[in-house]
Amino acid sequence: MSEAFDFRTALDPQRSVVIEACAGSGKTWLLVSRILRLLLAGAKPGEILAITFTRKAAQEMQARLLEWLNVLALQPEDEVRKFLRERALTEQEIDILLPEARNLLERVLTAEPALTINTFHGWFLQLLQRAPLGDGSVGNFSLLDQTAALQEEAWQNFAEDLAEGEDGDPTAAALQTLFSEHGLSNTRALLLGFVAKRAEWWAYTADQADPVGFAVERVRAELDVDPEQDVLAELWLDTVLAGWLAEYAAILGENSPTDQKLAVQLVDSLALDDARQRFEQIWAVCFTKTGTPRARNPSTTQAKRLGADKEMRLLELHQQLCFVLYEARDRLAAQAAYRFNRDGLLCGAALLAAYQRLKEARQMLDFADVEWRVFQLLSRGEDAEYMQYKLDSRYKHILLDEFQDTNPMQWQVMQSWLSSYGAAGNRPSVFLVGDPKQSIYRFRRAEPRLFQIAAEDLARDFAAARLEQDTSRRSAPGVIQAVNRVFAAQPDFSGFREHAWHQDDVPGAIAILPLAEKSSAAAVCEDGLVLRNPLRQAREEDEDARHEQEAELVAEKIAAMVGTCQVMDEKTGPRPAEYRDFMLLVRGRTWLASYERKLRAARIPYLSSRQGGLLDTLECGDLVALLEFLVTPFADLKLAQVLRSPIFGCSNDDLMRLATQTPTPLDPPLSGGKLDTPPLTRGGREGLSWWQRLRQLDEEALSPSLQQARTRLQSWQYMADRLPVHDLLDRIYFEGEVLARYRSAVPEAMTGAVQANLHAFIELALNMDSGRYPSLARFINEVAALRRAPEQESPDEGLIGDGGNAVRILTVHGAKGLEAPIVWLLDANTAPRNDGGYRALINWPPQAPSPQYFALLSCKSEQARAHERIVDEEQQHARRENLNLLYVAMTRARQMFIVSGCASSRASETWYQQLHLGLAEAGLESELPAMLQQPLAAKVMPPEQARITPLPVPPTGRREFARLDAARLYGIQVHALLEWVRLDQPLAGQAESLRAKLALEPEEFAPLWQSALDVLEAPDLRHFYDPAQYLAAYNELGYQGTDGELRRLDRLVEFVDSVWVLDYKTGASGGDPQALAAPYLGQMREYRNAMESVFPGKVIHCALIFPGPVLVEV
Amino acid sequence: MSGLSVYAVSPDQMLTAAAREIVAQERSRLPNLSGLTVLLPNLHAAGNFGRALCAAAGVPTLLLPRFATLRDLAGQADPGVASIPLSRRQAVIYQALRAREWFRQGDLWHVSAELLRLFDEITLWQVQLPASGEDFLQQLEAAYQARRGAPMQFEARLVHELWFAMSGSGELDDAAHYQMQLSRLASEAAGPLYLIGLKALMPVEQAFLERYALAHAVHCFVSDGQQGAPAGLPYLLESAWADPELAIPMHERAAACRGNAPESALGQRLSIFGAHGLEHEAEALAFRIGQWLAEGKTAIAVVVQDRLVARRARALLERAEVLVQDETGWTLSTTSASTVLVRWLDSLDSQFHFQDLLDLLKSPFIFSAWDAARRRNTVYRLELLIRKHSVVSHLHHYRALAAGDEDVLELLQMLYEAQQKLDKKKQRSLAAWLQSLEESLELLEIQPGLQRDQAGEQVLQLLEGLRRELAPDATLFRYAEWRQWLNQQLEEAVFRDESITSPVVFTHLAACRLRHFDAAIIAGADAAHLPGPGRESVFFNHSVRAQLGLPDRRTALESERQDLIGLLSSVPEVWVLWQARKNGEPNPLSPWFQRLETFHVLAYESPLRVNIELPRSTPPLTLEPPHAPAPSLPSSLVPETISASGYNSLMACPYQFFARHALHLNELDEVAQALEKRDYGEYVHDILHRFHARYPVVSECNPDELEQALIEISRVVFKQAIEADFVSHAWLSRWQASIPGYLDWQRQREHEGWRWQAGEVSCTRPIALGGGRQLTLRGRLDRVDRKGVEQAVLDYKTQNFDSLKKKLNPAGEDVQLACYALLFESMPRQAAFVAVDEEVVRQLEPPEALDELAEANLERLQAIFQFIHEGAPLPAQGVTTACQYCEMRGLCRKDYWNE
Ligand code: SF4
Repeated sequence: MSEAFDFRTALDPQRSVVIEACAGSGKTWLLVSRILRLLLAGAKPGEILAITFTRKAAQEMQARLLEWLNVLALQPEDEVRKFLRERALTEQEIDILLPEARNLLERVLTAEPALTINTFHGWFLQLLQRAPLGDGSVGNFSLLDQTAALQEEAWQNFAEDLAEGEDGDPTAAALQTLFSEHGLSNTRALLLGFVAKRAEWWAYTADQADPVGFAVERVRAELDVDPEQDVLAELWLDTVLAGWLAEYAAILGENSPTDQKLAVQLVDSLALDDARQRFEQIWAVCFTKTGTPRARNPSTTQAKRLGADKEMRLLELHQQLCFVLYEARDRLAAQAAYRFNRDGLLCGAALLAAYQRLKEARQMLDFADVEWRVFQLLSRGEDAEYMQYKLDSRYKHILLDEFQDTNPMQWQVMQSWLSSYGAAGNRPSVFLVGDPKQSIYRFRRAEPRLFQIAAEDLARDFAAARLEQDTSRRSAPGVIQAVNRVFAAQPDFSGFREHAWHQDDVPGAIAILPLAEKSSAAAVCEDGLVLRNPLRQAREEDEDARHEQEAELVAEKIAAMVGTCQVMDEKTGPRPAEYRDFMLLVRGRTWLASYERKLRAARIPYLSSRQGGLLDTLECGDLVALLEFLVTPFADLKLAQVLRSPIFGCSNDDLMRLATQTPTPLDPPLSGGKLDTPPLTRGGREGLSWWQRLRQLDEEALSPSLQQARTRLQSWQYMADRLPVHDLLDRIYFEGEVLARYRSAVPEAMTGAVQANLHAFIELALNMDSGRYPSLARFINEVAALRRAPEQESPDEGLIGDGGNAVRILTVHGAKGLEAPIVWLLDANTAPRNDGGYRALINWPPQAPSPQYFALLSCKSEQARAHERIVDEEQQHARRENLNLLYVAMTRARQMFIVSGCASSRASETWYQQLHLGLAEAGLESELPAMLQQPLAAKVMPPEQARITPLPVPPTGRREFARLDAARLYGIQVHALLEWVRLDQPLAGQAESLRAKLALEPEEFAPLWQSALDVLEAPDLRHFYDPAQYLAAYNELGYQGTDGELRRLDRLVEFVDSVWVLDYKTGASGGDPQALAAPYLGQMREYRNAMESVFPGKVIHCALIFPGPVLVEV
Repeated sequence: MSGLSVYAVSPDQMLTAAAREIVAQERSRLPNLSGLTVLLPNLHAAGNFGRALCAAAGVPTLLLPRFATLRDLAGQADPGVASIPLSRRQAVIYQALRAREWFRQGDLWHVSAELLRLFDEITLWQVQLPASGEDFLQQLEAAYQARRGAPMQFEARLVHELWFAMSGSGELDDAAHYQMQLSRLASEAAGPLYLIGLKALMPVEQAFLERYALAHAVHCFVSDGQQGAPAGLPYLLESAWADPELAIPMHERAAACRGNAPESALGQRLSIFGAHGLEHEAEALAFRIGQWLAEGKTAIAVVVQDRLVARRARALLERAEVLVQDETGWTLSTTSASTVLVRWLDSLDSQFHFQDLLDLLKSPFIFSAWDAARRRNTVYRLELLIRKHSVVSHLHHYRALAAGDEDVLELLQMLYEAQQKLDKKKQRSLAAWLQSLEESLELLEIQPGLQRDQAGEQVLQLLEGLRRELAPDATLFRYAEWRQWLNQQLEEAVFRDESITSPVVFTHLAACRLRHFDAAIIAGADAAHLPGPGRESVFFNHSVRAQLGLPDRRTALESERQDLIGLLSSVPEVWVLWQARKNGEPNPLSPWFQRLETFHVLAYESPLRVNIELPRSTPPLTLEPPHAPAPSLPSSLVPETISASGYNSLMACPYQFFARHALHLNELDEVAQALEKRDYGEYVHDILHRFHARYPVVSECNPDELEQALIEISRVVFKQAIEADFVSHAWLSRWQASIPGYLDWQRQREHEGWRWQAGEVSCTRPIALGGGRQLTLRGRLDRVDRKGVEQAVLDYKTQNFDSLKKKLNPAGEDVQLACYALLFESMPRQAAFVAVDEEVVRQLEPPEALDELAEANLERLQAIFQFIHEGAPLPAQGVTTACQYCEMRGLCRKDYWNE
């Protein structure tokens, strides 16, 4: 295929450019190349700001840049020239820039400020840390990335506040109304949904003194409703209507038998007192159950029955009545919607306030806060300008990646940023890449329409060039052709241009496998009532039989393809497929377990990096159970789980052994009384916890596993009190050989994943441990909270170190940015979930600075007409996004795209059907294409083994009691005083400052000071402390001896013909001086010898001074 | 002699060169150098330098100069005035800020800490702020190169106004105190001064040197790699890390380097290793250290750039019994000693929320006078009570539960008394708050507990020290302000475990200067941790700081560069570890080493990166292969009674039955913080039972009265739940919506001739098994109706009608109704579920003939138990829906089966 893409313009450092680039076309390549070109053109690294959507993408970009800079620095000149040519530099330019290119790595690495490649979130945080002082943003906040637990807490606080509040609190009343009309779970969903849209809410109600009042009034206006109006009363007062109804009843009464019944019903209902009931009954006369007007058409028989005029009149009346009733119903619905919004917004705002308060109290910000604060900051002209100069970086080039995932608020921020540059001359260059076809983050508020708008704005204000890149460098022609067919056939997929491909010679294929049908297990119908005996016969699963079947097919095919099917390796050329070449994609997690089970059974190693699954895995469950047992030793079930886990590998017989244990009357054999013995209320064996039973059993009665469990658990329980969680876990892993045991006790297909999860768990503990105020109980609570949190917020399963050879199972969202030779879309025949139900309805036209409308929606049947338009629009976006997801899924495939699914009666607009629609005429084979299946020598790597590190060393290091006992401390302090005191000044005046220096209370200081004075003022020691009497004196004098050791003398006093070495002793006193001195003789001898060489010709005296003071010369 | 001389010395020669110079200068004093003062970057270097001096002097014994750091030396000078402690300054500035109302209260401690930091820098860097605010603003305008706007004006005013307010107070802060000490020192200069390898000095220190040099000679030895041999390592490093702004291009420098030395001086000494995750990096670190120790190395440094890795590696080392001397330490807030303190305050704040409370009581530090076993047992008993009664908070609630349990009551009483010490409503001075805190800790016997712990002791010392320092400050603070303050203190204080001596030292880069190590590891050397992020000030930016004369990022980078050169050129073997991939994302290497490596490849064509093959562990153990378990019960464990739900469990999954009903394993009660569906079901049962006890027959009663009565009863039953939790209203309204439907259904039933007879009836029925054995079936019937001689058994359900319908199909899978029928002496006429949680209440009977169904269930039950007694296995075989919420999943281990 030809390459028509204009690289020269795209990479031109002088120009602003907007590029729409299809999947696999090398967006990262373009973006990083552009950065290189900017740098080569002389831009300082600190002048470049590149923003992308995920941290991972940012990190990869950074890595790519460094890799290329290294290429420029290190490769031979030919290579470098070629490299630069590929990036649209001319030979002349290359000649000039070559030296610069070679030196670029160093420039970038040493740049201060550095080049910024970040996500919007990351960059916003950076801005916020530099934000102007005084609006609260200077606070010492920490970032809250898991909001669910705190929102749950806010919900509780909110409820508590209401319970404690006054009677007649409008919020309480509103909440009660919501509860009784919509139920708890809907109300909760609604209010938490409101909180989830807080950024929009703030933007919508910014600068409003009464945000709720404002929003409610807007809803009222939009619905055009008078809340006070009594719609039905007015209706029934309408005499014209009464006339119509009477006439209508009369005519019906003459018509067909069905209509005659309706006539009776109508007459009956007119007699009803209750206005609402009357309305419902009459409504039922005119409308069908589904809410559409009953069909009434002229017919000859009817005309015969009624006469032509009456028939005309009937039809006319029917129409009029339907219209009137319909209008009335809409009024009612609008009123209901209004009330619903009034209550819902009031409660929502109150819940939000509770949530905000909670964060404030803990000095935390979540991403929405960060975004909102930055938004506010930059929408104030002065502050925006201030931010420009407050940052050390002055961006002159801004690059935006994955622009389709940007949300309106982020774009607003970016616009404010751009406009704060002021005059045109200062403006930065802007480079924007994206692909609206890959926009799949509406649930994170991404707005794909922004792409078009931003492109136009940039064309206008920055003279940005507009380019399209529709050539895939990733996928084989076979895959791209299928993409072209499928999406050209979709009217909803507007703006699709046929893709071209780059790699002509790589084989590619698509396979749509037949749908799994419900197995028609013949229902054996016998006479009489025969009930299943559960010991003999397992219950048949019926619901997921189809998924099981599909999963089985998947496992079977993968097993067959590995080693035989041929894939093109980018580096090494064709080779047989390995497990790692497969990427299985699902829309949601519902059936994941089925697929995993079948893979396991087929011994296919897999990694399902389902988001947030870590804590749900059995291995983490085991560890949590163990920790829970350690803080709550009477949690029998937890203990049983730990025993059954590979950590101890106890059998069911072991459990039964414990279950039958009766207490021995004697004291438990193992240091029993020391540890827990929670007396439970009941007597007998039930009265004892399992832990107590385990501890009481005789050694011989225990299997080796149980014995081991007893010893280890006891020691771990002891450590649990003393070690931080992470260290405790580390000990457990080590002593319990946890990694090795799990490796041998889980199915082969899972070993890699399980090991990774075990590491991830200890890392979680490590991270939480470094948090504030850790404790085991707190850790367990936090783990429980994380486990309850929605998927996106709980920790991911561990990632296996590079080189794990396993099939990957991902959601389509999770696969964004990834690719694989073989991509398999599972369960493709289920319809997308529609986002009906209780939620916030927001209309934020992408070009508007803030939402134009914000309302709450209840379930569909209560929808007011005025809201329908926005809802329809929303649904249209949802449909489009569903296609985008399919596009993303397909374009992950380098060579092969396989689709499977289950037959379903309800399925409409499924991916499977959409693929069929596009590919049917192409005569697509349903079997896996043969061309990829040339058998090659199979060489499948076994899954990588995890490692532990035996250290080949003897115990090292020692722990001493660093704690000073009082006597030693006293000694040290006296020494210090003797050292610090100034002999040339009056002693008394120094006491106070010395006390301050020691930071002691007067009463603590006094005896110390006295001890020092005793020495300093003792008549027979006078000459050691009177400068007039000696030549020189030194305190704490260090000397280096012949043996290389450094020693210290307490005090050395030099006289004309002698030298005294004094050593202070503060311990014992009294008794025989020589006996006291005895232990120090060796030390003193050493001093003497050393000083003799320093002071040749002088007599060296060595003396100890004991409390008293007593001078003992030795 | 006086004057200031500076000697540039190659870092690997620093000690010897300095020693030689000193000996040359001071030859006359030998062997007594005690009159000299030598300043070192840290005192670890003293031993090394002493030896160097001795060697240079060539004498057997040398009286050493005084070794000190500049800080220590200054500390010995007494300027005659005490400084005001930091804590008091912060209280003062907090108050000043609070009065000005410029910030939210929550931010004040942070702002005040930031300001103090800035003010110290202003002092130490001898920055002169102009006296007029306007002048300062102009200065900022020029530095920022921007027009003044409101935010800049505010920044200027904040700094300016408070600086003059604080510095005008006449009190001496630490920085100024240091300055005075230095000038005192200079004026008392008593001998020559040597400075060895000290990094960039602050202007106050520089000024001190100049003054000192007026009286005595001052000799500074500064590090400069280019002074070394051109073939030497410092020279290489110096040119690899040359200032790019001034230097010649890297290629040329590299070529020159090779010209100087054909062999790399670095290749044998430095290795860079990229790990693929945290665990991998920690393992590599531990492994490397293990090897070094085995080689007999006795001084190993680990430069900790990434604390997580260090922490992980330390655990790996400790489990191999290699203790680590950690000079880096932890903030007190991450120690469990401070946890007990904070959990105590948390408990106060949350009215003794049960989680806080239990966490507090399970701490080994509390109630230290109690025997540990007694404390534990008491706490466990309290926990059981809390779980059983689902009490969420408040001491008086717990007390009500514990009636009769003296130990628990005593414990609660102590908590109560301690609580009295901290009256949150009052405002007090910080010292007074601390005093109260300490008193409460004493009552809780936490103090002795903490004293036994190293970190605990430091926590206590910190509190006591602060209390003493703050005693003169009378500013009043609310409880919340004080707590925030306390958090900040615990956050900032560093705990070091100083009891360990080991050849393996975890330390900071800067603390390695001039020390001797046999080998070193730089751990966590990725771009995010090296250069260290530094502690950014919220004031100004780097270029403005530079123009104001404050230290900026370049200052920090230059000092880091020197540290790195020093380390690499003095330690014979250095490993640089980092995570090349982190959480599955690429993670760049530190620019220092990225640059060094590229330079090295250019010069010598050999990369510095290496690979360590970590040894594989021993082969896996042989353990039971995972499969679906199917245990057989010994007779002693076969249950003698069974309930309908037991039978249901047996049907759903025999293993589940095994665990629940033979092993009697159960989840502990969870403390419910909000009403749950399960409770709701119980409430509804209770309401209906009470209602029918009052109104066995409803047909004759006034419908309004009935509805009122039922509503009234519902309110009573829900009352407590609603008081505890407003959200319970939702459940009540849910139930109320069903009331009319229920009454309709009841009337209809009476219309059919059925009369309510009894509710909540417990029954048993013996079932004979073979071999003379017997099984008792038991159950509790929600309701029995009678029509003439016929009876009916009804079971209220809050599930929806459709899911109930599913239960009944296929026959025999849900045994509840059949079991209930079996519990009657004669077969009832009818057994049905009543779906009471719907607007239209309906009843639902199994499609089969009741007597047949009951009989078949009975026979099956007999058969099953017969089998069980005969040792038939109980297989784990739940269907997906059964397993989904099965609490025995950890026992059957379904997730690991290879089917
Ligand atoms: S998880 Fe499933 S298989 Fe295991 S015990 Fe429970 S119901 Fe049975």
